[in-house]
Amino acid sequence: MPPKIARLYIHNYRCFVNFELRPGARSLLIGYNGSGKSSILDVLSAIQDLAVWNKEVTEAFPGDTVAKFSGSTEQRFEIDVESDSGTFRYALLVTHDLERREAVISSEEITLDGKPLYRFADKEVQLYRDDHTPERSPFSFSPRRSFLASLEPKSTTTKVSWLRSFLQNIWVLRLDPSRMVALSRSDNDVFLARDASNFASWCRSLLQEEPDSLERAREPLGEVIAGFLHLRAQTAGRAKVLVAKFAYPGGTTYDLDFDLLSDGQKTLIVLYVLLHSVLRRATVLCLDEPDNFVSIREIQPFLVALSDIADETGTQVLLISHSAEVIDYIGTSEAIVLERPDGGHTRVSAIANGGPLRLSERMARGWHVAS
Amino acid sequence: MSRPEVRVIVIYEDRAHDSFLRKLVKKLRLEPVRFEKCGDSTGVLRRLGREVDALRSEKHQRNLGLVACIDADEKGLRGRTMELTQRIESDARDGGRTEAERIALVVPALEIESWYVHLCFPSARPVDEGRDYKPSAEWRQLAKDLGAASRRAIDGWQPAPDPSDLPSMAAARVELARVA
Repeated sequence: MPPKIARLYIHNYRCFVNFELRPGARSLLIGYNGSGKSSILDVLSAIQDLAVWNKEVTEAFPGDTVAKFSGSTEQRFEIDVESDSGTFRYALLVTHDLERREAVISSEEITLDGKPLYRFADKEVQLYRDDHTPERSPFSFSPRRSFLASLEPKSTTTKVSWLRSFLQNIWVLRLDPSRMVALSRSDNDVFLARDASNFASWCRSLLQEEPDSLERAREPLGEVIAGFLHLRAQTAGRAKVLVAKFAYPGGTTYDLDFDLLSDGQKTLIVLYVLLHSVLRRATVLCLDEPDNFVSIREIQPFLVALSDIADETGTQVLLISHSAEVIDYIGTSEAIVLERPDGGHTRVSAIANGGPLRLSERMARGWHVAS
Repeated sequence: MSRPEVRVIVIYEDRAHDSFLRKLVKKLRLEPVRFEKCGDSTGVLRRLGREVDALRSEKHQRNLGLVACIDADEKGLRGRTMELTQRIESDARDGGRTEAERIALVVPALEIESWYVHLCFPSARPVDEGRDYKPSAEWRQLAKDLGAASRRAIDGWQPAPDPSDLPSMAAARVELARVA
């Protein structure tokens, strides 16, 4: 069974109070503007920033993320990950000093089927071996960062490392083609920014490390972008420029710098390259409105390709979209409706099934929530 | 000489259909134009006439076809196939389907879950087309990872008619041959 996030719990973060989400292998988050869809992905990003990328907790969870209406300064987050080894739980408690604009980690824990693997509390770390016996005596650590980000892989603590690796391979992307540039100064940019603004640099390293993935993306891109042939990094002084090669119907070819492409073309290229590279190593792929900028005809072929590859790799997919194309393709069985009745905190509501209208049509009328 | 590319619109009920049909279409080397998930059998029946009209309006595209997939459920293979045929007659502007039209009516019996179990678990054969396999241990195991299940199922789908085919699978092969 491929590992997946079975449950996400969020308390006192923006519009979430005592909120629980249970995503499936592929889930579509739907709801009106401000219902908290993107904030769910922000929580996953923030946990990753803290526990993997070593960001300070104040930076990962700024004070302005505390829910305005809760009256508490403590935020709690839990991620349950189902795997062949059992159910892992990552639990984090963050306490804010709103006046000083500082936050600390009050506790951070990893358990497997309820048994301890890692615990940080009272400024002390306790690591446990895979058999849940203490690895060594507790030791002091700063409450401003997660010790997990500094954890060295060891043969006795493979399960903690496995969970950290799972968190590391959650990809959260909210593409912004207007910020994507063609110029890259480094061929060592192995991390793609969440808005893909550094796509050219990242792609350059991909061309060196995984040229096959770009090759795999070439054919489907040729089908959705008329005349598209391939991408290449062209030398420009000390830097390189990402260039897309096209062919006219007669066969004559021409090059276009990546940033001269339309927003839709840039988005399609990023999406298909992601499918054929990232999706093969991601544990969870979260895409926030990937259909933005993409023409209606190109949306379903992308969704079908995404579904095919996710079926093959077992990657969990979490999508956010307002597009009728996406909503109706994914359908009622895999959609999760977020609602904020009367502007209060977010809750998950059941979808109203049946009737002659499609889900997108029911949504447009406000009839998608079961009463 | 390779055959011209056949492009199809596929209408069906739900996620279990979607996962199966996406891979079956690929295996049969058909080019999907559009997948339309209709939610349930009522949704497929409601949509069928419109899709037949749309197909006929594009008759200059001779390589275009329609695959409609709907579970037999309690109506049985024959009853459901008849219902689909009658639905085209009543809802499509130009009446029932003709022999020359690339329209395939695929009716898994009792439902697509029966096909998954048959194709993924040879040990569970003979699969009873009158039995609901949704509560079975085999289906519950498959449903945990539908992507992997549909891969296994389509791997088990023989390219030519097979003596082990369920009656509804054999009927589906005849239907799909109309399109391909």
